Amino acid sequence: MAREIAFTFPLEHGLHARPAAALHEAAAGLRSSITFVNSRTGRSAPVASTLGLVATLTRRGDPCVLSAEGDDEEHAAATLSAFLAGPFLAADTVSPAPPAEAERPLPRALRGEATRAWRGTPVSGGTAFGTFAALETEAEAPPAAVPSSLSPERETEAFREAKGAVAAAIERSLSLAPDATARALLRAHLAIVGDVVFGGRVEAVIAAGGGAATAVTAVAAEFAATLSDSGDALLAERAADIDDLARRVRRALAGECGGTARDLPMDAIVAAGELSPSEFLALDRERLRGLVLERCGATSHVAILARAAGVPCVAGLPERRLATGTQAVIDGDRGLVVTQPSPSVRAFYRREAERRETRRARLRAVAARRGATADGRPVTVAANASSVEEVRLAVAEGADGIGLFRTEFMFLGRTTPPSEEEQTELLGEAVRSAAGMPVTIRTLDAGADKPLPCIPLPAEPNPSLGRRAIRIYEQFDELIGAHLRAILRASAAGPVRVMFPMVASVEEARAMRVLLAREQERLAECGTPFDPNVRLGVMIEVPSAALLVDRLAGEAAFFSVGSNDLLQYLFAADRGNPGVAGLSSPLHPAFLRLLARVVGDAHACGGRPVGVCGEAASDLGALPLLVGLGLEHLSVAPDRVAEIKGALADLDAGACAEAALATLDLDAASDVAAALGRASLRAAAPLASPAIVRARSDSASREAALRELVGLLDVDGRVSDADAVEDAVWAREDIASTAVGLSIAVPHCASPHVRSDSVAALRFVRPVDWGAADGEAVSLAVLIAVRPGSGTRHLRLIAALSRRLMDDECRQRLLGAVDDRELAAALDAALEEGER
Amino acid sequence: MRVVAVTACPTGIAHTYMAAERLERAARKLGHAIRVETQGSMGIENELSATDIAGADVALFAAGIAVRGRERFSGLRIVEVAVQDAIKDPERVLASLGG
Repeated sequence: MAREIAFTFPLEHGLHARPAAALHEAAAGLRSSITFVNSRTGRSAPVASTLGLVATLTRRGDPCVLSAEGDDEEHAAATLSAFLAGPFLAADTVSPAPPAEAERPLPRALRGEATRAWRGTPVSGGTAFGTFAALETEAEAPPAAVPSSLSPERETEAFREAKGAVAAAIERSLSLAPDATARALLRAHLAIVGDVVFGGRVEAVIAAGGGAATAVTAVAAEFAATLSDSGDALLAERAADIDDLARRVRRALAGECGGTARDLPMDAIVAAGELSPSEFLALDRERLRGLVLERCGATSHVAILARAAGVPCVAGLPERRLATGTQAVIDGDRGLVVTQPSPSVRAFYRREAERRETRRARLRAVAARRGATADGRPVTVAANASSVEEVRLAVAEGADGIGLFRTEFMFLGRTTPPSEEEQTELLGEAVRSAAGMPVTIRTLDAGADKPLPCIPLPAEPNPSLGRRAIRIYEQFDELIGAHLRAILRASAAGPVRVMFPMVASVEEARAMRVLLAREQERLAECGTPFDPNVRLGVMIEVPSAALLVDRLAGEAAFFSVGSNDLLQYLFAADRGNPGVAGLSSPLHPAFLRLLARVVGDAHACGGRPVGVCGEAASDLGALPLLVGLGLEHLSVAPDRVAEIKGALADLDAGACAEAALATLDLDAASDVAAALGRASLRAAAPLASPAIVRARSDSASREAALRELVGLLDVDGRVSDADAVEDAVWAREDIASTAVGLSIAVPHCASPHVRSDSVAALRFVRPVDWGAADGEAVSLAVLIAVRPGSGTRHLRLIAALSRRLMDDECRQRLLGAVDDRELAAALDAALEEGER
Repeated sequence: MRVVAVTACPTGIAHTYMAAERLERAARKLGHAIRVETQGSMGIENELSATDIAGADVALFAAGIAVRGRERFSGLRIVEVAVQDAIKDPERVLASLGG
């Protein structure tokens, strides 16, 4: 009697080689025979065949079944369920392609280079200088001629040897692989080479009289055709992996060793028609600066590998135009390649690189401070973590503690639960790694929805509404007792808070408090050290709990909103199901009303603090609302900490509160998004500041000076799109030069891409020709950039400043400034005089 | 000489006010009476009254765009210059008005 696991296929990019290989690996230790069935395509495959799995043409949302049959089928089903709920979801992660910008005009500084600039499709972001190296790739080389021995036995043997040689070569690459993405892909390739179905088919064709090389070609073509004919662009791209490996096996049959490293010149920008994943991995990473490909899909494995490796890549350019040895700049964000770049193009990209670095440094500085809004309201930005490594990463990224420490990792991949000692050791290590910052440990969140082999539970028809999290604690009393003692004992290593998941009623919260007190007593009796003041919190994930916060306040010292589950239960919509995912949104007024009530009730009951630890916490669109509704804590993925702190530091808490209140009476999430778009939520930056003036600028042309001025605003976070603001400034210069005598120029623009009204200035080391009719050069440029519909106060100040600039004394003060601080002070003084 | 002037530039953020300031200073220096209306980012300011216009010898438009309320000046001699000229050399602009 087989055990079956029915599920909806969850991965965005379908069942491609990497998740297929991961599934294969997860099942490797099981004795049962395991079959994957896709009910939509009607195709099935043994899990042991990665290629067979890929050939089921499975897309996200497909109804699927895994069935296990054998003497360990119960255990197999539990293991696979756990795998599907956890590691499988991570097997699809890829960094996104840069947004297509082909519609946007080139930055002005590059437009003059049109004759030597090519625009393709951006595939992998980043910019690099280098030299073209044309690469003849295997796809274009004539197929290796392999004589057949005409003996099926000898051919089969040769095929097996060739397969072994390719597998060994992949194993070698795997040991040298530079990143996790490359390792995952190589493991998938290893699985394809050793695929039982593929090998079986090839050997059958050989037995029927075909030579080994012919058989490999034919069988690979069958699989590739299945994918190509699927009508799914994503799956069709996966055919490249099969071609890639079939070619390598044929080469091995011909006696050529696979995976040979290519010789590249220094700073190579590789130009090729098409590159296979193994060809990419064989490139010398020390010398590779960029890739220009004629054909390369944004979701192909080469694209994914290039992004993971940080190698800029542009596709869609005919490589024949790019002669080896030609110098070039590759701009993977704009999808641009400029050959023989002029000094001005080089200067443009050097300055862009400097700007990026300055911005990064600023963000690091923000991340090092505790989270707060511009007007000083503290909002801690902590991190979610599931392992000791993630705690370390979070600390390095500037997290204000760990807001959600998941404990399930201690229970994964084992058939017996970890002992109290083991858990104490692991949790203690996590707490010590947090460098004295508080760690909020969530108690075990497992059950029907997230099965663990060491916690056997019968399958349920509706697991997300079934026995999960604290609902199984009574049944596993001994195990949970040990778990809670381990959490308490970890508090001896540093500040710890305990948080219970899936609380739906006051009785449950009370039972958890009693449970925790019982374990505290037990520890105290044995004299085991722990912090007796560990605070107990309740997660708000169930709407009933959200409506009971005032009652729960008697049991809990703090609340943490698990927004993923709360949204799913509130709207009765599974986020993983594309058919209904659109129903729920953290911007929906229903969710915001609930959140407002939770925060209001918690604050009214002895000022209980409230946090958010779901994905809503790292949603930049929702951030002003979370701040506005009064949440004190956010917990986000470690790599988002700096970004969220940076966004927070720009917000005005008062304006956010006003905006949040107004959204509660709207109808839909789209209305809320639109209202937020109109609201001005950023704290007003002062018009001028030392960060946006330069007292000794060596810009030597109007172009360079305007670029430098807009660059100052960009680095200071005052514009959302520097290229667009620069264009707006030029639109005014193109009507008439803004140099009007008195050796000053006052370039200006009103643009929606300006975030905060600004007055920037440059004092030039050498006077700059500003395109004035009489050729008069300029010693001082004052850039005025405002938002359209800016407040009258700013416009009045700017009008007054414009008048003040006509005053000799005021100008002399600006021109005489010896450093940035003095120049900013002189501008401030001119603005202030205007206010009087 | 009594002058009524209007300054306006395409963006209306800076040059409108720079020109107004320059014309006012130059007129003071040359001993002319001047009133300058600005048509800029904050709309019309220092709006010229019918009395101002009736008492003027000449109207000066230093504008890069069409002047609003042009009909108010019918019957008066109008001299038009580029806004940047009024900033660059206001004395010469005033001298060119004659009178």
